[in-house]
Formats: sequence, C-alpha cells, structure tokens
Amino acid sequence: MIPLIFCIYFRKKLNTKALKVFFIYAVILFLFVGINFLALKVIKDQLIIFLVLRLFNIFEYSIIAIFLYHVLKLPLFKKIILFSIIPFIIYAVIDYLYNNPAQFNNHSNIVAALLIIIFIVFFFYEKMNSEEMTPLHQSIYFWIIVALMLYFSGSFFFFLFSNAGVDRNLMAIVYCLVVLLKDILLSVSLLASETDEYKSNILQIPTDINFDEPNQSTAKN
Amino acid sequence: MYFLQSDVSKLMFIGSIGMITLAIGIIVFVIMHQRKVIRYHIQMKTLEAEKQQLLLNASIKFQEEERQRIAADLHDDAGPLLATARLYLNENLVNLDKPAQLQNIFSAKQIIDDAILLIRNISHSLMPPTLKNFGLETATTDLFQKISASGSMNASARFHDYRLRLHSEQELLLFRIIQELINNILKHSNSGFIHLTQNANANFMYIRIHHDGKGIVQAEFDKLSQMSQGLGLKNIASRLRLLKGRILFEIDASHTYYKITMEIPKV
Repeated sequence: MIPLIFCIYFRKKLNTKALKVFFIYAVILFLFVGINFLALKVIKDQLIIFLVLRLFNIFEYSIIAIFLYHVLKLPLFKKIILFSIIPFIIYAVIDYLYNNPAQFNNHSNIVAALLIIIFIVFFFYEKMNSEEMTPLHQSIYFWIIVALMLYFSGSFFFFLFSNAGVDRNLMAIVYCLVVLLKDILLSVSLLASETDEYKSNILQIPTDINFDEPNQSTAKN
Repeated sequence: MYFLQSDVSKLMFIGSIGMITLAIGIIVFVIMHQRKVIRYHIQMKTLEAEKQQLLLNASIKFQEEERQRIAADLHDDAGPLLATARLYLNENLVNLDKPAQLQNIFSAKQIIDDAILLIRNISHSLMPPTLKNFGLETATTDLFQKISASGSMNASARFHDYRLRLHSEQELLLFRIIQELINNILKHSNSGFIHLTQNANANFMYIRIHHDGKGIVQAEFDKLSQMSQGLGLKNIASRLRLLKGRILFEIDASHTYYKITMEIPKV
C-alpha cells in the first residue's frame, strides 16, 4: 500500500512509460493485498487463495518485465525481456493446470525470480557500460530495481524451500522482511531526483534582475 | 533460534541471507564502478576544457593584437601619407588656369578627405576607440545610436547598473558578442526595433537584447553553433566560454519578441 500512496503523492514524477508501468505495479500490489486479505479472512477457500497467488505471480512478472523493457536500452536485452513474457505465462498456466490446485507449489515463482534477477543483471551491465554522468543513486529506476533485486534475491530461497518443510515462523519472518524492504525502497525511489546536465547548464535568469520591457509603441506589431 | 533446528530451515535462512548479501554486493560494486567512471569523465572534461581555453585564449589574443596593429598602422601611417599627398597636389597645380585649378583642388580635397574618413572608420571598426577610452557602456550606446540614426530601425540601449566596470579584455569580448548579435539581427531578423538592457547583481552582469523580428531559440542556437557554417554563432559561443558566461535565446510568452540574455560573472 505504501508504494501506491507515494505514487499518488508524487504523480507528477511519473512522466515516463516505465514509471507509468511502475504505477500499475503499485496498484496491483495494493489490489493483491486487498484480495488476499478477503480470500484469507472472508472466503477462506484455499483453492481461491492459491489461484490469486498464481494470478498475482503472472501479473507481477509481466509488469516487471514490461517495466524493465522500458528501462533498458540495448535492443537485445529488450527483445529477450519482451519475448520471455508469453512463454512464462504459458508455463505458469500449464504448471497450474497440471499440478494439484489444492497443493501450493512455487515453481513459477522460482522461474519468475530467476528471470527477473537475470534481467536486473542486464540493467547493471548496461549501466556499467554507459557514459551517463548522472549518479545512479539519483535515478528513480535505480531504486526500484534495487528494491526488486533485494526482494527476488531474498525470497528466492523462500520460494525454493516453501514446500520442503521449513519452519512456518521462519518463512513468515524472512518473507515479511523482504517484502517490507521492497515496499520501503519502492516508496523511497520516488524521492530520488535526477539532475539533467543539459538542463542545469541552461541559463536561469534570477528573478531579482530587472530588464526593460519592450515598449509597445516601438514594436512593429 | 529454535526455528533453525532443521537442516532445510538453516539452508533456507543461510541461502536467503547469502542471496541478499550477493545482491547488495552487486549493487555496491555497480555504484562504485559508476562513481569511478564519472570521476574519470569529469577529469577528462576538465583537462579538455583547460586545453580548449588555452587554445581559445591564444587565438583570440592573437586576433585582437592583429586588429590593434592594423588599426594603428592605418591610423598612424596611411592618414598622414594621404594628407601629405593632398599638399603635393596643391603645389603641382600652379601651371593650370585658375578656374580649373580651383575645381581640381576642390575635388582632390574632397576625395582625400573621404579617404581619411574611410581609413578612420576602418580603424575604428577594428578597435573601437570609444570602447578603449570610455568603456562598454558608451561604446554600446554609441553603436545603438548609429544604428538608430541610419533610420532603418529603432535601436536603443540602456545600462542600469554598470558602476563596476569589467576588465578591458572582458569588455572587448562582450562588445564583440554584442556586435555579432546585432549584426545577425540586422541581417536575418527583419525587425523594426531592437533594445538592449544591462543590469547586475552581486555576482553577475546581465545583458538582454529584445527585438521584434524573426529570431532563434536556445535549441536552434545549440544546433547552429555546432554546424560548420555557423561561424558567427561559434564565435559567440567561444567568446562566452572565455568570459565564463552563458547565453539564453528565447521567445517572449506572447510570441511577439525574441530575447537574448547573457550572464557574465563579475571577476
């Protein structure tokens, strides 16, 4: 919910395609929390809860992939990201249909986490090879990507061992911590402000300087 | 840590911590690397700027010295020579009849006077004496008065706060920029009026030129000054770099006037 509040508060900053996608992600995160809460407390049907989780996984992966597609610049990386979405959705649907829906499995989450970590490495690779003079920490994208990197890295082993008899309390602690960390970083990301080298070099005339205004009588028009 | 009793729990916990540490390590490494790259670029940029500055300084200094030399030669040598020629012309006319003598003398005198005036004008345009003797304010006002006197357009200049004069070298550079801008406006803008205002604050001096003709905006200036044919604009840009000043080309909100504003640091 916190990222959505920050997105609404800093809506003027959401002026690129990637940040608009990020806003959709924040909305979906909010909706997922709401629906999950309803499913757990009101409907109390495990099948529906698992279905919601699976749907969230598909939406989350697709939206993050689209976000990274807009953030990355190298055409090869963009193509890889774009062409991974459909196969992933197909895989997630097949995985859901061919496994017992009453038993939760995290296969698609593991695949999604792995793929997103790889795409994030693409982003870092691109940044390391770029000639950009703006420090990374001034970029909103950077903080969003750091949040995603920590979330998917931290929850990767959680997804991997969730069905292997790990202590429930430990799972809850680890997952809550990484989700909290992700939400904080996603929110903080919108506080970053980029300084454009070109814009900062453009002459800004101080307001206390008075110039003669052109006399209308001297003008042609 | 009761929940770390089973091997799987331990593995999951250590794995998660390991992954987060790895992620943080990658992020820190990328940030450090980028900082290093930025530092390197800034260093290169500074070196390049210093080199450019030296080259520009040398070329503009040479150009100005050359102009001053030509101005001195024209003024000190050509002027007295022509005046002496006029005297000789007077002595050689004694053999002619009186009306013809008078006519020739009058014509020759006129031509020589024109030549002297012409040479003086050339000399003044190469190194404006008003600028040298009385400073930027008088030279600029004088320039605008001359334009206005030609009758082609309404030109005026007003200095609000020029109590602290710039160095003579800075004044010369700034005057050349103003001349170039005015020249461009006269040539390309088809404007009916042109007005220059000067003002200053504690650290900077500002000069703004308005005109109602066809002008350019900043993006066009940036583009044109990069092109091979925009020599005048390139000169403006390089002179401004020497002055450590900045320029802004813009159009009025009402789209009636074009404005060119310069900011020059007071040294």
